[in-house]
Amino acid sequence: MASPPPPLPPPEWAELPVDALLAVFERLGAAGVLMGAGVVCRSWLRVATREPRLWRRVDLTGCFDPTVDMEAMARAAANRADGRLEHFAADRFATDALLFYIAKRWEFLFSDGKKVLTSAP
Amino acid sequence: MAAATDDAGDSNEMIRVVSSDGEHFEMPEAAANLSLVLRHMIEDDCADAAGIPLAVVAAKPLAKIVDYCTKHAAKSSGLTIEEAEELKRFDAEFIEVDTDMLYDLLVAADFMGVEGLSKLAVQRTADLIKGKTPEQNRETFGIVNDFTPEEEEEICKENEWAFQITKPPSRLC
Repeated sequence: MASPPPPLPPPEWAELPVDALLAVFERLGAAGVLMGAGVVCRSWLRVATREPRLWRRVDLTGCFDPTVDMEAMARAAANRADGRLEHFAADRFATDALLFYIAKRWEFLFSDGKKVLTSAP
Repeated sequence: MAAATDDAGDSNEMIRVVSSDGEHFEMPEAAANLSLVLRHMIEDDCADAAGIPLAVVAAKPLAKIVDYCTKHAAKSSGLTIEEAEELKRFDAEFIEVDTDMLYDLLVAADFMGVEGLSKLAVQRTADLIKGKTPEQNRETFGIVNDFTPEEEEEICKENEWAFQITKPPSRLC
């Protein structure tokens, strides 16, 4: 009789495939990733900061936390989108200044494929 | 072996699959069809008596996935409210697993293309992470903090906004 296979080593959550971790981060939302999940370890930080597709839709409605500078959090999210932010939503803390900050970082894609990143005046 | 469930779909044929560690499993064709990978193999006539080999899915998670697919295939269409509720309860109990199994289900469901199970495992993982500090998450998932003190300092500077009003939520900063 063949001997039973040796027990498998426990899985390494730090090495979760990028697509699976991205799906988890998408479910967590921008606030959840920015508030802690994204700084658990190097590999999670890499996914949280270097995958602009995670930041295409940033919805911070219902995320208000009085202990956090929400405007700064929103700016951090807009920066991570690297010009590809397509949808931004926020309540109560969204000031004109914040919306202006986000609009300035918008990358306009023209029909000829040329990209223009709007710059600060 | 086990008979196909009465209402498991249009075919009563049993599909065999083989885990990476050599264990054989059977499920109704309708259940196997919930996996994109298995469905394509069945369509391509790759499902034979020897079973479809799943090189990266071990027996433990595969047994769970076979359970999940069999349950969901048997109750796939024309659900009454009670049946939908029962399926929801099944899902909730099904995903109450330790983090080792959760990891295996996340990866295996993605590999096999079982959409409902992928969503369930992703939601469960997000629920475990939500509202926790980085240090608590490291404990939950057995992750080692591999940042150097310099990197930690840099992260803290970049995330000052999160920590400036109350004390830092983690051992970072």
